[in-house]
Amino acid sequence: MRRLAVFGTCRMILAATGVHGSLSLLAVALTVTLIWHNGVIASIGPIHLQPQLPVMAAVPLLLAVAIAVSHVGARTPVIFRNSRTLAARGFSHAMIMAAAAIVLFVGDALAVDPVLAASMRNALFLSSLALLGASFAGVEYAWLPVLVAFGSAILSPADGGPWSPYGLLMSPSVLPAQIAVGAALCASSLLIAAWNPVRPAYLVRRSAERKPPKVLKQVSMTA
Amino acid sequence: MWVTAVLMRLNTGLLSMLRHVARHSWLVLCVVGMLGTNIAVMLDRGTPWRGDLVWTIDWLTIGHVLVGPLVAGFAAVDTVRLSIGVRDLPLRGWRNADSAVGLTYGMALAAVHLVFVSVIIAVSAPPRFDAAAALAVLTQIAILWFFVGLGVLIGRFAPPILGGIAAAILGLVCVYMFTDPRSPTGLLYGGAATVPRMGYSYSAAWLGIQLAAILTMLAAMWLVRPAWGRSRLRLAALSALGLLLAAGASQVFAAAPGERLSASVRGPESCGSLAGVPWCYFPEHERVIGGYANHLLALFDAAQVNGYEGFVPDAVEEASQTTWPGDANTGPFYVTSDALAGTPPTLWEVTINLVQPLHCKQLQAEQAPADQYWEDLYAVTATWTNMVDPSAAEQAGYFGESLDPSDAERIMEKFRTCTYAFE
Repeated sequence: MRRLAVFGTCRMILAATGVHGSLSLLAVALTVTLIWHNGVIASIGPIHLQPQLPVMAAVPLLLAVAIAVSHVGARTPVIFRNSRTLAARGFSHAMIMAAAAIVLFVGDALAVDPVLAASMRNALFLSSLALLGASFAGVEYAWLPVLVAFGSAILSPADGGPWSPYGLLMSPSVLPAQIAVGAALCASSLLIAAWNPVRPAYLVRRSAERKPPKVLKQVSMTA
Repeated sequence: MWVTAVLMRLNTGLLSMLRHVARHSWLVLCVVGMLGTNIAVMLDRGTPWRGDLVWTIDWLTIGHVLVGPLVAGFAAVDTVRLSIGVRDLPLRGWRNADSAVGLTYGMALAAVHLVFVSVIIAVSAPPRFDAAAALAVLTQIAILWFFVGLGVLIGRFAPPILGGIAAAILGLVCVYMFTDPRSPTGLLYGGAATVPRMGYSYSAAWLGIQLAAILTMLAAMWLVRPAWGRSRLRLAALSALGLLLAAGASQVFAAAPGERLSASVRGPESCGSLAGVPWCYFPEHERVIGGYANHLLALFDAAQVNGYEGFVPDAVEEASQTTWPGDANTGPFYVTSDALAGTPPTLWEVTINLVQPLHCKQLQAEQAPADQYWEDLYAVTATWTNMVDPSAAEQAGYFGESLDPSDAERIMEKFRTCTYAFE
């Protein structure tokens, strides 16, 4: 009975906020993964990508935004800001992150060539950007840093080293250090997103209510 | 005056609406993103486009892979934001939030694009102009409008949170699918050239059809809008009409005659003399031509001094992307993109272009020439470069001996007259 209640709470946390948007993006990402897991993007218009970009390395574009929009901050102050509220935010992001990871694992399992490392690295970096965009500018703008990063990676030269936009998002060779830095960035972005720094549309308790009543203080002094 | 009457009729409402959208939308941020991308793209790879009008205009659209989705995303987000409160009002004509956003974005981006193109053409300072270039710039503006229209279309239907990402991803998909220069679906192909455009000029008829097709697409996108009240039938009918228009436009575009660029009739018009040999080059390449002149002069002098007079052609003419002006009497030279980007041409590269008979039909055939051809080509080239700089051949990876004047001139003569046994 208690287990059911926990499940219900989790479902409510997810359903109450941005999970519908996230689910539609996840569905698109999963569809692309199921159909084109072996696909490669040889050129974007007249720009030839050499080496070619696996479709699975571009899917994180959708996943990153899905993760970022999975918890929409309140616009009207109807809830209190407390540890449970912040935990709920972190929970939403983490749940969709797990779902996104599953999509990437499915893609890797289906694909002939191994794509997990590149797609995971891209997912870590892009979702960090998307989470930061969502927490500082709002979930409607989570796509912007993702798009700018991906666009500059396509446009930037391929010989910029492993920490250039190209090396971080387009290059097929993945360094363990890239994954480590990406994971650290992603974890810190998740914390920032859960903390929800610039969207303070929360109910605020009046300061008088927060202080313990005077009577109690006196009681404690006498005792 | 009826013009004034029309303007009065449009009244201050339209202007105040545009002003309001410009102030309260993300237009400024969008313009900053577009300009930033454009500037970064123009400064990339050593700015080899300077001087060439067609290449200057075509280089700019390399950035569309980022600019297109950016514009679509911002237009969608603003359509969603600024539609709040009037989305369901049955207002006619341009009095819709989405039309306001579309018009403001369209006019602002067109103005910014025009100013930016003027600036890069001023920097480029091409010596010759072409009226069709204006049409090419107009088409690029229409491509920007397409992305605005796409964003506004998504913004009409999308939920607030997904508008931006949906439009940005669709913009990226459109860039991926519709900017291939070789395909009949290259509706959004605006140039995006990383190879020189010398020898090409714009084909006005093709550009005109592209422009008309994109504008028809815009009309089709404008038609598809949420129905008022419960009129789902109206939405379905308008969507069907829009699809029909779009399909018609893409059909007409696919059947457009010729290609975007055609071989230019204007040849290398700047002429002079090098050690008594007349030579002509494209005035667009004036800023890098000195490097080629020095090498050619040294080569001709050395050939005459060392008794290889037969090497020196009667005239020298610059090759372009569409012509290779070699024949029995003319030697070609070719200005590379590397040279235009600031790397001086090497002696070997200038010499081999002067020697190799690319004008011969035998070399344009499918079949690769015999190994003997390559041996002779490198031997003759090395013979000539050794007279000027003995290290040039070795730097290019050739270590053979120089040929006698009689042998070398015999091969050279066969190359020039295309009587060499290539097979």
